[in-house]
Amino acid sequence: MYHMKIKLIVFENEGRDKMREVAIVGVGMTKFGKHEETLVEMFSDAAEEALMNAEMTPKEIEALYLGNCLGGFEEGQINLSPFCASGLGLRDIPTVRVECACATATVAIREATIAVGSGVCDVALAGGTEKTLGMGTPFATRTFAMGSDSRYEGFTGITFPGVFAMMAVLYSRRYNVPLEVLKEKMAMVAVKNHRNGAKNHKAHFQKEITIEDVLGSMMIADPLQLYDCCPFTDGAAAVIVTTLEKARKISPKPVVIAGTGLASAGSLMDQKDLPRLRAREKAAQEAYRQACMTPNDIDVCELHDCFTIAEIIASEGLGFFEHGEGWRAVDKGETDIGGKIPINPTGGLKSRGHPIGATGAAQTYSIVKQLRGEAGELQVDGAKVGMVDTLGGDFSVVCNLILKRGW
Amino acid sequence: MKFKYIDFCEEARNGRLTGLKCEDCGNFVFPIKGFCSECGGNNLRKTELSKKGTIETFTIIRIAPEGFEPPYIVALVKLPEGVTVIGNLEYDPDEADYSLLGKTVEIGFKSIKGDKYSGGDGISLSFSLIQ
Repeated sequence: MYHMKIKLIVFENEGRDKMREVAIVGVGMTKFGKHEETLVEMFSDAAEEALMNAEMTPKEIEALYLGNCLGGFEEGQINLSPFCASGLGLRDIPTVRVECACATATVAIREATIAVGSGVCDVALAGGTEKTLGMGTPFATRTFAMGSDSRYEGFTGITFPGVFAMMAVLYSRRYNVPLEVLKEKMAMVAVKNHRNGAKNHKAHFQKEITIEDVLGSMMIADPLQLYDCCPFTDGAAAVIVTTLEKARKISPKPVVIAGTGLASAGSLMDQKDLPRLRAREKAAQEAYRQACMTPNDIDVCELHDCFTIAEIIASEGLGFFEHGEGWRAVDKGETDIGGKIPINPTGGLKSRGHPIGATGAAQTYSIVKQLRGEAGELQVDGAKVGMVDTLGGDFSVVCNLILKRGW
Repeated sequence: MKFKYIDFCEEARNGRLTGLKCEDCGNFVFPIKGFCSECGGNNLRKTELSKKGTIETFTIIRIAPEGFEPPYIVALVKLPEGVTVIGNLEYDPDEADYSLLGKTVEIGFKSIKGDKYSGGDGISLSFSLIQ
């Protein structure tokens, strides 16, 4: 397994390491797929499940960090966070809308972690809500592409499938993997994630597919085909974070947020080492450093497989495999449930669907269920430490969380 | 006076691809910005970049954002200065194959009509194969 150079020394003078320990005590999510409910109602449903899960009431929430990217286009609704608080019967509390493209909800959870860790509040609700299906494919594609650099990239008509398509070609060239071979391994990522998602009753797609289905599907952005791409979807997810001290009093299975990392990069053209992604490597290193862990310590990972090639690239950037070797791991089954490092056991974005501002909270929901041993047929045996990886824009932002059992 | 996006567009309309060079560390800065990404300095000088480069990677967009008519090609091109630029390869998508990788292109500019979300009209780089 690839070892990152991670500083494991905790510098006592660094304020960030003096924070209170923070844990998740409740998680909830709607089914992902077409929803008739409003953005606020979906978030309310997810938050209600999280509250029931934590055996808490809304009045105990002291702050809301709400992820949402495209509310202005989806419902003509900006300023969503006070309305989402109001939907839970809450007023007076501070609320913030967080937006970091597809990494949005993970960043919201990190913000809540910092608020609780630093003592600003003791209980915070974080998550996201998004309704992309109603926009239709051309307009949804337009709005998603707003996550790239609008001045220097947007006028080319670039799309996110297009960005990752270019990365697949670069990966093939840089690591000398024939594109036909890489395409087949990418198809295996889709097959694996659909196989997992078929058993996830909250996934958008709950059906298995074959390599032939992937390679026979319509071309979206050469060489990416339809089944290389995650679907637009609607959904919401929420988590409740509090101090570990309080969590241990109210929950038999609190999940500790052992490390978080968030890093930024500029436009696609600012990246110097593609298909390696600087922001991911920086974010992951920080999360590992805070958790005093290495990639070897991770038992299960939900990572950002917006496209099949994205999973392979992420599996390397997080340090699970050497750069240029991630495609082999798929082939050997090392990322399956029961493999060396199970990746996306709940189906990933590919099968669960990608309501962009909610995705990171859904990933966190899944890891919390895994660590508690509540993942049913999708359970990774004995998982004690899990990782969340969420990427936004064309590699301009990545957020990572490392979660571990707190009991 | 800082060199801004509006100046970049004006230079492009006159056929020049403009970036910045960091006088402190020698880094070429593109897209233009206020500070060098490598050393953090603001001692940046406007510089004309090469209008020739090689195709690093490309894709054919078949499902396009609203306002764009597919299919068309988007490519990343590397300049001799080490800068990577994005633009449209002016080439028949039906004829495109991976033998295009590594080929040399000449860089031009095209005006793109904006929509109500784009903050006005814009400029895209266009790449033409050098025969």
